[in-house]
Amino acid sequence: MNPPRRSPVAIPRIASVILHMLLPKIDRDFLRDCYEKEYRERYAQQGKRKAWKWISQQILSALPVMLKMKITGEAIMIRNYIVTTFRNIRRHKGYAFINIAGLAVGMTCCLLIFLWVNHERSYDRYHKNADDIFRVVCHWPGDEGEGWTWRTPPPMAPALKEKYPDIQESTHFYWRDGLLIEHGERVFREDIGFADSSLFQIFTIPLVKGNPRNILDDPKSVVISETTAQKFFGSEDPIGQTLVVDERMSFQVAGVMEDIPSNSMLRYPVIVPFSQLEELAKMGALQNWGDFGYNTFVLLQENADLEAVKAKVRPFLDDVFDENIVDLELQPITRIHLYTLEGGGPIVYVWIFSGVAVFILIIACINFMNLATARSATRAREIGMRKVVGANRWRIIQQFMSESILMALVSLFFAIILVGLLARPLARLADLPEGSRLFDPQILPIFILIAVIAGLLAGSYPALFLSTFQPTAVLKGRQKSGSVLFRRILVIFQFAVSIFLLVGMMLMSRQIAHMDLQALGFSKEHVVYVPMNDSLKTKLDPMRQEMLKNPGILSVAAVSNYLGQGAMWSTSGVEWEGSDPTDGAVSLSMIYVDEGLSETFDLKMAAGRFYAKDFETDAENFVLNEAAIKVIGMESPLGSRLKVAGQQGHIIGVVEDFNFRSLHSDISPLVLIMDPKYYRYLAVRITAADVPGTLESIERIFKMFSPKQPFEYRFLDEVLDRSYRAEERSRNLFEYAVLLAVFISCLGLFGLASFMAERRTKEIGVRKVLGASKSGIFLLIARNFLLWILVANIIAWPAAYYFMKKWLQNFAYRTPITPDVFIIAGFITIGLALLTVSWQSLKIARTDPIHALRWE
Amino acid sequence: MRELTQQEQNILLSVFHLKEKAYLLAIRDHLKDITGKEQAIATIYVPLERLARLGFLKTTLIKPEPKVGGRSVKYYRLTESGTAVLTEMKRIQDRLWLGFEGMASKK
Repeated sequence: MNPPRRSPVAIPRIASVILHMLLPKIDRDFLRDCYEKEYRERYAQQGKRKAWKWISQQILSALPVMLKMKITGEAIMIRNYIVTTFRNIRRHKGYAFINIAGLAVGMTCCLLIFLWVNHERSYDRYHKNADDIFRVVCHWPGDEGEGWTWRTPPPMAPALKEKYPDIQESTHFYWRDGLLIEHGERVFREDIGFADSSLFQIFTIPLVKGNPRNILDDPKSVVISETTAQKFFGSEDPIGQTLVVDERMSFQVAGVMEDIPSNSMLRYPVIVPFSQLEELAKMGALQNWGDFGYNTFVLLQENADLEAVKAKVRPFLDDVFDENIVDLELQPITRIHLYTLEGGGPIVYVWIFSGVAVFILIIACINFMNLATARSATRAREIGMRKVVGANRWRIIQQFMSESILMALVSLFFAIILVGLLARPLARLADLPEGSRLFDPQILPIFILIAVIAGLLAGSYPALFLSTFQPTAVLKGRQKSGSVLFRRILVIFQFAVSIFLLVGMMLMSRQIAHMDLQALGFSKEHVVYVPMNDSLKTKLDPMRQEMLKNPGILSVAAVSNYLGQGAMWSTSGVEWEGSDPTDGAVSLSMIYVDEGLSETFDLKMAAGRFYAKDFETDAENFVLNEAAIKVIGMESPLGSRLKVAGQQGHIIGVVEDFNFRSLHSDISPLVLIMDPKYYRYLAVRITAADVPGTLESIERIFKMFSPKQPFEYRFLDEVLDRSYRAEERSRNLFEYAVLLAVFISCLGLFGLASFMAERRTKEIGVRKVLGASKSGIFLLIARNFLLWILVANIIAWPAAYYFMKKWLQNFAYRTPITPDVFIIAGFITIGLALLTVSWQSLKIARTDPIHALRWE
Repeated sequence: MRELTQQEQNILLSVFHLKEKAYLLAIRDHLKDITGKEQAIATIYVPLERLARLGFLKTTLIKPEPKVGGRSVKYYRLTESGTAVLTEMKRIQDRLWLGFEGMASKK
């Protein structure tokens, strides 16, 4: 905008700017002068106020007419663009189809990924105070046990609140999955959360009934969700009713909360006071500073300075333990779902997929650009005419931009239909929690924005290129159809991206297969896990004997958690003969087992023996894994004295290392302890024959010893496979995305090939007349494309190698990156491209030259 | 031929009257002198442009002189069809007004 000339008394700047925007371009200068002259006169005669009043009246009265002039002018042009666009679609249905289909499929994919990303990022953001809520996490130093953990001791929550005024509220949080809950005849297993009343102040959990201030203050109170209330009490008023948990403890319903949304980590339908954990599970004693195992959430004061609070809180535990071993840190709750404490985590997949979405959209846009520029000759006359009649370059750019945006919007229309159809299958594929809603009408404006951006992107090159046409040259029929080089680069880029994604997909599949094959060190097949209650622990032996009578049941063990999913407990309180306390803590994971374990899971002993029935003193002994022996550094471990978490005993055996954690991580030091207090599951090894019959007999025996408890079971291998779901579902999603990318690329290639074939009809006709063979003609056309795709391969390989190497570093057990993956990807793309191109070129090669030569 | 509005007629007549000095502000001043009412600049400009587009007026844009404060001015002149339409209007109006002066003087 030209700066208005400043005369001795200039019109107010704002008026000048409005006039500039409003006035028709041709007469702008002199009209402004008119206003300025009059304004100056009035200023001199009547003063500033009157002059101001005059100019504002002038502008207000001019506003409607001027706007109308401008808008009608633009509207007429835009209507003309729309009409032209639709005329072109109708006249060239094939190209329009390729354009719209490509864009629509690309957009569908992009939008679906966007919805998924949006959902993943939405976790726990709905809380009103989401930005002020933090989870307290600990950092352990040391060589082996070093790392971050959310496990904090129970007394921390109240102590933090008391000591730091910046912390407005704090609560404990812990959970137990699948506890038995009874109300009269109605018995269900529910996941239970353990928390304080302040949970309802910190998080946004609206209560339908009950007072959030003190709802869990009564130790025998319980809050349940609406759905749970419905399950237990139907239409009765739930308040004051009794629920019996784990066959032992009664609670009175003190409140009903709205169901917790699926995108929350607090998805526990039943919440009881944290103080009850001690009685219920013999853990979480409120005064025990050494019991690291529980979540602590804090709500900061609204205007608290986060960094300052962090600095103050960090050394908090030094006073408690009189030495500096554990540092505290505050983790924003909105990061819990996507980021692991070390950084990384599922967020990696969010980034990967966002990248894939952008790539796919770019590929689709490139199709559009390619076809538009390749076909520019057909539009050249139109552009020439427009220019002759008076359009300037800007008008032509406008025309093609609005044309491509219009196409993008048409594609968006189809894309939204597809998204509507596919949202549900996607949610299943991505393994989202039940009841998650992906599509939300509020997202629609963003969809439109994406479409407009795609339209602008796709239209940019054609618009800039087409608008440079010289009318004289065009109308005489001398205009080249766009830069061949540029189109070549676009196609190469498109295929490079497709190859990159193909390689990524194949390596991802390999990695997952590799992890399946990876020896766990124990056998996970045919092991049935049955959750059990405390009441069963005293009857373990008779039950085991009863079960072993069935030839289908090979062995029975009691165990504290699923093998292969990590350990629930760990300790750094390890001492042995000659251990040096100043040497830094050794951290051991702990799993509680009974004597049946080694047989049930087929564990191999490296030295010594496993626990056995006949040895009375085994409850005071330890079995360690090889990794633990290595960390401790014992020469002859058998018979050595050891103290673990306050318990004295001897080492009686060493098991060969097995993967008790996930395959993302290495095998860490582990101790197996025989202590019935922590048993939570019965692990039963069965034969492959007559599985349903065996299960039935397990249930019968189970019911015999514990008639009230519902019988449930899960197969260990299924459970373990689930823990690689992140990779599994990423691979599934990735496969679809890659297929689409390749499909869209081929669609573009098809369009381009058929166009080129059409343009060269006459040339081919002449060649055939002069004796060219069919295969010669086929090669003539296919050769170019093949060359491009070879180049694309060479570009894509190093990039794919680099990124996949980085991705594989997430895993402790990696599949090697072998050259065959790249070669296969190359062959697939070349094959598909050949297939795509050959259809057209063969058609041309076969036609009778007479038709070709008469072609105009 | 479409009939002119009162405003358009007034403007055409002003242009006729002002001869070669007919530009936006002059026309506006002239109308103000005669009618006593002051009009917004836009209410003159829009019909002027419309009349020009209809071919009743032709325009000449004088580029600003290359001195400080020099400004561009757009002058309007009646075309032949502009003159013709005024003549036609006058004929119709005269017939419509016929006899009115006598009535007025009788009062």
